[in-house]
Amino acid sequence: MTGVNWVALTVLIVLFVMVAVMGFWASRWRRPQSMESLDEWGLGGRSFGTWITWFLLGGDLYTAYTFVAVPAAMFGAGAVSGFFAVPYTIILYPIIFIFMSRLWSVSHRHGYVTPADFVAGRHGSRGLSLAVSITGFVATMPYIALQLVGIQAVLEVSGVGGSGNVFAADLPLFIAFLVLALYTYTSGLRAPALIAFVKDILIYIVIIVAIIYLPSRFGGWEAIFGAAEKKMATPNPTTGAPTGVFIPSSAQYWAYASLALGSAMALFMYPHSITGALASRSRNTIRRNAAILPAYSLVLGLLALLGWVAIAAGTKPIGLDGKPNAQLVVPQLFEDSFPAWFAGVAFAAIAIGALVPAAIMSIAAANTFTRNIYKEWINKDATVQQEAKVSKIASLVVKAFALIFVLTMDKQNAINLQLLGGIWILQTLPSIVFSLYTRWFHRWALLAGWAVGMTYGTVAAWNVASPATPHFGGSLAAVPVWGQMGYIAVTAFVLNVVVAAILTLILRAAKAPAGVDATQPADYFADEGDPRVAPMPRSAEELAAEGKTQH
Amino acid sequence: MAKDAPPDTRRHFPAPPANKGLLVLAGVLLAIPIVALMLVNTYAKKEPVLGGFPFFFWYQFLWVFLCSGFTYAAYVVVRKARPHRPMNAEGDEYLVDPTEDGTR
Repeated sequence: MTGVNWVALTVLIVLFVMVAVMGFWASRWRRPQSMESLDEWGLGGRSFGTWITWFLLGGDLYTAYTFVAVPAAMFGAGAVSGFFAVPYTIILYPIIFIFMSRLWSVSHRHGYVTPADFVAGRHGSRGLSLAVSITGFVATMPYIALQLVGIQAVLEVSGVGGSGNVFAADLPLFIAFLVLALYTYTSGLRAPALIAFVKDILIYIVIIVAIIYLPSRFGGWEAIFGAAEKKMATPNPTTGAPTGVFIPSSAQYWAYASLALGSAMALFMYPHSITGALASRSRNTIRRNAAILPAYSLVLGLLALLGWVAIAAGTKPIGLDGKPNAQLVVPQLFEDSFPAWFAGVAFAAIAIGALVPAAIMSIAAANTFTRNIYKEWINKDATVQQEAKVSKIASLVVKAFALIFVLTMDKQNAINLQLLGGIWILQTLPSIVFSLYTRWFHRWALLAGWAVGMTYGTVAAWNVASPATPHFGGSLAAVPVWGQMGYIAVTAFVLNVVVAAILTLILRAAKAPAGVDATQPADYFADEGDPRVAPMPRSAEELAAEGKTQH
Repeated sequence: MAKDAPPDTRRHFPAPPANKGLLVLAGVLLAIPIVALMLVNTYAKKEPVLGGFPFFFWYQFLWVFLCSGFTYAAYVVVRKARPHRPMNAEGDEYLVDPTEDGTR
């Protein structure tokens, strides 16, 4: 790497400015009468059709960090920790097909904005709802921070940042995030929805060009897979074990399968995924999307293989600090193999790819804070305007926190916490998804199961050592009793469900109060055009207040 | 926890009727890709190589397309299995009484 790549950097900046203009203009796109409600600011008016939802969810789920980390994992450790992303993002869609339209319908009827809103309404339980909302909030924070890591990677390869004076080095990142924060504040979910078009089109162009051109340049697919097989079989000089995995062996089958299954079940428990789904116009929008979103999985699979193309190409991902950094492998491959202007387009695709999910995640985290913490615990009588105001400010705070996190702490912390976040978020699945179908599980049992799953998952992840770090060395651990290596999140989830089921039997036998269910069976099948249920009045004062304002 | 919530006095508003057989069919269509990809032992091998791609890789890429097809088929089936019933303006009854037609 020799100094700043001015051509690539200029292309990157031009595309970035274009996207920023779109972000601010988005507040006029499909303009509502008023932006001052969470339905408008936080969910884009719940009005997005099939194609906008396709771009929005594609931009939301396939993040810049994914685009940087998946090929990096393939490059460094091989198929189990990298290529599992392909089965993960395939089986994801049958799974969300099953439950997401029920969640859409009940949220449409009751005006729910977050999954914790639904849990509160279904079980009449503030405690369980708080547990779900805090888990969602905490799991999302490091995810936002990691989007910054994606931007940092492309800036570093173009020769900007990372060294010298801390303030000057991080200034580009700071400016990028400030612009993002401002247009998210003014335009809400409409901004990432509009920018997602640019991001996704850039990504598709870059990947298609790369996957057609690069293999012919580096000796064809046979040579590429050959080079990868050779590297993965080479013993690691410090541990003596093979460098990585080319094709999983029988001892790794469950690791591979459980990583795919656990990640697929967890993804739509994250508030930002649910925000994307609830912003759609009708009950079936998300189901149609389940059939067309796999197009992105194809792109992700091809991108994963670029990690192995880099092995054949002999790419040397070295950071500005002179140390090897696998995260830089794809940007470095592009810089080495393409003319500077096209490398700039690729860098812009990754950087803009970070802005879309970062915006949606901060909106989702802000909505969670507003609905399930501010309104539930601090100001019960908040009006819709106050809700929107609090959410907008919270979105700024969340992004500032992520920025400080990345600039002041070791990047490894964000990666560790994101790994933990995946384990944690899966523990909210019984409360959300099981409750869409049945009230058999008792609210206190669900809470206890959640607590057990969280504790087990955290301890198990803490105990994973790797040559690089004594704790949080990975997401795989031996499954107790069985002994096979598996994804910790799935083991914790099984424990969670067993505890919830046993305690439910006990609590039901003891006739513990089940809480009031605000929903009706028909609510789970409502569609666009069906009316919203009036919120249930909470108190006499509120009734009186409503009587005063009704005319 | 929510002790002050008023007792639920609304009438029971049931789900729209569904063709159970078709719902099961949709479930099977959705389960096929999940089960196929969970059985890692069926595809963790190198041969047959296709266009330079070991079996392990091209087989999973193939499932991207197959899964999309199965999911779309399930979409067609569930829409037939439980057609949408619009609600009245108050949202407490269906515009057409669900028991009137012969799907049950």
